[in-house]
Amino acid sequence: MHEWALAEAIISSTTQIAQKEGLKEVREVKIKVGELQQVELDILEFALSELKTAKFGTAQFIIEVVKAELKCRVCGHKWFFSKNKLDADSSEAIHFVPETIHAYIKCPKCGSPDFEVIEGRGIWIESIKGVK
Amino acid sequence: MKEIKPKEEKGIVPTKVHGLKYMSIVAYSGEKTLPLRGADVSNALIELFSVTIWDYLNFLIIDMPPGISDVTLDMIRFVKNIEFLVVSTPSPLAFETVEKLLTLLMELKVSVIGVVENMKMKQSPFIRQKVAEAGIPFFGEIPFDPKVEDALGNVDLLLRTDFAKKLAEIVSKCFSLPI
Ligand SMILES: [Zn+2]
Repeated sequence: MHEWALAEAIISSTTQIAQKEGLKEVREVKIKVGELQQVELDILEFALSELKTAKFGTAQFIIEVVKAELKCRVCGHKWFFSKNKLDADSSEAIHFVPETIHAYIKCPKCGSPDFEVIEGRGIWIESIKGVK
Repeated sequence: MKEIKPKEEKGIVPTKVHGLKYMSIVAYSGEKTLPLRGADVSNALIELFSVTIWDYLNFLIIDMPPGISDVTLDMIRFVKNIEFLVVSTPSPLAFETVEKLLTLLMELKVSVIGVVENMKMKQSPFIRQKVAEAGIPFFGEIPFDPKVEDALGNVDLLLRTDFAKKLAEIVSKCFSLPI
């Protein structure tokens, strides 16, 4: 699963930031996951616990899912992404490369594929807590 | 399309096509039209780079669109030690764009391996001279080969075209490999 690649990236970015900030131990990492990616949270959590290094000690990983909101550039209509309306293949494509959404979804109001993902794309570290 | 579907295993493992690992967004958008703005192209590219498990490679070859768009700038930004092999057609008009790219790359101190002239239809020293003036290695000319279109999708047939033979010569020159 590509959740492992994401977990690896989170661990390495957190380690870099912790080093830069002079943290001896990381206690808590808050992660936000855009819904568009449809990341399997169980796998992500498991991968994080497997990949974490000694620097993380008993650190907690708090993962929050952010709803994916789309906005049409042509008519301005806003709507939320819903995976239920997609078949398995399209859903998988968006899971790997979210931009492929433009091949599978159109504005429900005017039918344009020219919309933007205002929120809910990607995965990012919201905050890191630790001891200096 | 099904044949190039990458495998999923702690990341995306690219499919091997004729001994080459291959990855493209087309593996996920298939035959569908995928209208993307520049910023979306950038994001898709970064996504592919972050999830693809290339493992050990001799070379990673990135096929780029012409000109200086978001993708070109992103590649310069993200790929350390990137080297450009620039392809031009014989058209002086096309070379104007190529020249601007070369200028940018030199200003940014990005390495340019050389320039190849593709789809050559008649004798003309124009591109060769211009490249020499810029002080960049010129790797040769690839004649326009109408057989290429018919060979698409058939690797063995493609490798027998004049195009492929000439390309093999140029590649071995670029990377000092035996033919
Ligand atoms: Zn619309």
